[in-house]
Amino acid sequence: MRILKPVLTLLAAVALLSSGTACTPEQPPTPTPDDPELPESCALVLRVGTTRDFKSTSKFADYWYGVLSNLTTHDSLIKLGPDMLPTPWLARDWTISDDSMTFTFTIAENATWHDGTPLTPRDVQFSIEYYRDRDPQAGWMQEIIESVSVDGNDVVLQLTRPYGNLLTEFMTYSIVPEHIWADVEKPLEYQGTDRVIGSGPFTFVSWDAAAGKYVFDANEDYFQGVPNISRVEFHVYRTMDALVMALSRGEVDTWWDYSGEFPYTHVPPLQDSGEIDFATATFLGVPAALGFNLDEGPTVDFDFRKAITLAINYDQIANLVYAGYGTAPTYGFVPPTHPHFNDDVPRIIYDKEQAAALLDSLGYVDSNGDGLREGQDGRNLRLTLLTRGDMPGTLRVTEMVAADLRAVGIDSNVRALDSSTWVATKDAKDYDLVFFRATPWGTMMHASHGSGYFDSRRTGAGVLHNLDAAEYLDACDARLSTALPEEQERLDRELQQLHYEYLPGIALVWIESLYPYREGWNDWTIDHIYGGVVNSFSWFTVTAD
Amino acid sequence: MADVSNAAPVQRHEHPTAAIGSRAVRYLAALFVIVTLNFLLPRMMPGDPVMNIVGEEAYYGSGEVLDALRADLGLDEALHVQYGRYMTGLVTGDWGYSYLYLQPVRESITLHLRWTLALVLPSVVLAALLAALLGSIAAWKRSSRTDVGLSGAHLLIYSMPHYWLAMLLLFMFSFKLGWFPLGRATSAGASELPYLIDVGWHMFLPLLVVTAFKAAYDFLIVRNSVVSILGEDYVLMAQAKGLSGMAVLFRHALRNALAPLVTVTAIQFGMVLSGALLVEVVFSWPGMGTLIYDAIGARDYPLLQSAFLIIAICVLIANFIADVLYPYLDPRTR
Repeated sequence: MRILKPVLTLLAAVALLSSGTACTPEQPPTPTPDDPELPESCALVLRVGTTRDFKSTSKFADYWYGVLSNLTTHDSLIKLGPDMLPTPWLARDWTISDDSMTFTFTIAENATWHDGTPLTPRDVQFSIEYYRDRDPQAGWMQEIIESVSVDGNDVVLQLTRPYGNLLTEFMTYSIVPEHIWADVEKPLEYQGTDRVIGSGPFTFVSWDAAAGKYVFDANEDYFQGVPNISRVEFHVYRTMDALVMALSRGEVDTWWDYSGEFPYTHVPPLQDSGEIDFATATFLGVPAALGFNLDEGPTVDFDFRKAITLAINYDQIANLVYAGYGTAPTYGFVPPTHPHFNDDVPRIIYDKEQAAALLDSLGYVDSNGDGLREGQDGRNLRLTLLTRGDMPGTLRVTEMVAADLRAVGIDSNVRALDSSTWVATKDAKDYDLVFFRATPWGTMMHASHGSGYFDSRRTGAGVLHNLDAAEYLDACDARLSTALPEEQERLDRELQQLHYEYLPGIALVWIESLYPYREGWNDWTIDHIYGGVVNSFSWFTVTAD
Repeated sequence: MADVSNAAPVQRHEHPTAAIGSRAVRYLAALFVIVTLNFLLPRMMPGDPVMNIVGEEAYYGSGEVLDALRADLGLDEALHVQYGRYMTGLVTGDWGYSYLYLQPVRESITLHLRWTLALVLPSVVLAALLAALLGSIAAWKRSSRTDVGLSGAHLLIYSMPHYWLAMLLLFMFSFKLGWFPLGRATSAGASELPYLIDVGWHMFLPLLVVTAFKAAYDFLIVRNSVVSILGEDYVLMAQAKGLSGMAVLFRHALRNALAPLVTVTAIQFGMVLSGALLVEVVFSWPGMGTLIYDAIGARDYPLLQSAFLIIAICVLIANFIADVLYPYLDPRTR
């Protein structure tokens, strides 16, 4: 009994201490109560699971909340429609001058902010100027937008030079209320509880970091009508395994991600459960891509790059990494989901013998019989493969490519690095081959069709900026400077052809994305850019049995 | 002149207060070194925190935007200036601003540290108690079926990957049986007593995993210590006096075996604080492990240096307590 007393005392002390650390619910970022009761009239609740790493409710500071807010609480001027064409949203119409220097947006008259204040063209003008002047992620606007003015119900943008991709750019910038942000010098640091106020189809209700849960309620005064869903909840999990279990158990109804693919290994058991259906669409981005060092090393030689592309077994990647939901790409980089897809650009083929013959012709031969080719200096041909260690899919593809290269006598040094080190190494051009992924938005940025990743003048953490051929840069400039649809189509096709002719990089696979949802939910709309069935269009089409 | 060559060495007995004071000075020196390393090491890693802030796809032209952001965060200053600002901030309580969470570092750390402590504190104590009890029993019944069973079970747990056991428990008890939630620390919406019960419900499985691993290691320490102590003369003496087996075991053998357990617990405290990362990930637990992991990926210097500092302080405190406790547990070390 003498030992029992101190043990019990110790346990009690620890229990008190432990409960003390966790006994106070975290301060919610808004004055609204946590997870309030649904009004009786609210019947339809959609619970969405995600593994994205949300940290706050600041659309400026938290990248992932910024994406989420574009789906829920905030509106952009236009959106990319399911048909891949710009679709009116807050801007009910727009005109573009012949020289592509003046863009005029006509703003919807009946939109309001969630606090009841009317949304005016002046808010739109303020937002564009605010992004241009204060948001470090909108640096391009400083170069492009000369002035923004209001003319009645129109907002007029005067550009410094023609910019044909402006509509695409504006799909991702949502309009923010001037009466809240006008006095905020540093949007990244603003902690005000009113930062969640937008004009979107849902109003922010709560965010509980410990519970990993966002709650949004339908905006009854939304200018496009009331969403079909009364409330949408986003449940955050750290692992996809936990999310899939939640999906199977009925704790969430569907899955959302931007630019990620649902893991194919989880598809068969979910299909077998009979409770989960899948919507499918060709992924707009490129889940696994390969870029070449065009400045130094053997990959400077076009034929060497061609030999590399012939040595890779694309079907094996599609089957083993993407469970058969992938296809071998063309040399044009972007998949057919993109408008103006150039089907004249040839598909990449896997031809080991042709790759070997091409390497032989370049003087890379295995003269000592060790299974590896030697270069002109007599040393084994060894390529540095730069890849992302924090992205298992990319790493696995890299290992498969390394094995394919080995099969044609090329040794590899795989450098799997975390994101930050990858960026630094990539920008130092310390690689022969670099593995990356192109997001849906990434393939549309700059002069579109993947040019944002290759144009040497383009800067950015995720881009290669490795191609400086004048013909390619001119094509990019031409595409950027025109808003004429027929001219854009011609140049889009030309850019894909130039990817083939210069080979700055290739897609390793195109995939069919699968979007799981619980049976009983119907009439989803697929949004190619925002990742699947959870999007601004589905709010108004989806129904439940 | 007296011949002192054969005289017994003079034992200096430091006053307990002086001993604690001298240790405190040593710990302060260690803290200074740690603080400096915390500042330098993240900055030696390749990568640019500003690039992480603007994102993968953002176009930053010729770099003016990045330079402006860098200046705004004070990253354009010379290293010694940043160091001076960092040290001043530590003294004045200004730990800087997290690039990743875009909020004061203290807020980010407070939020996550509380959840880690809520998980780690009970697990450390429970594991020590379990290890002391089961380790003693296994040693007392050395080579019996009980000993083999307990030692085998603890070795099995110790050799399993943390995340694998965590996944297994999550799959069995949360997914298949539905007894526990599929992770996270709370359900939103509860308060007061229901909130505490809810936290306990969410905490049960991660607590079980962390406790099991800590106990498995501690068990082996305690068992081996008790086995060696049971061979001592004073244990024989206690038995000869007619004391009961339990009294001999827990009053004489275990008490003398506690010192190594306290030492190991103190040393492991930091590992448990940060090493629960994988368990946190599996259970979506919003603790320090995931915070540090994210901060490393984003090269969030202020957050990294403060998070490591907190862990270092916790370890130093744990070691200090162990230092202070040691003479009481083992009078021979006084």
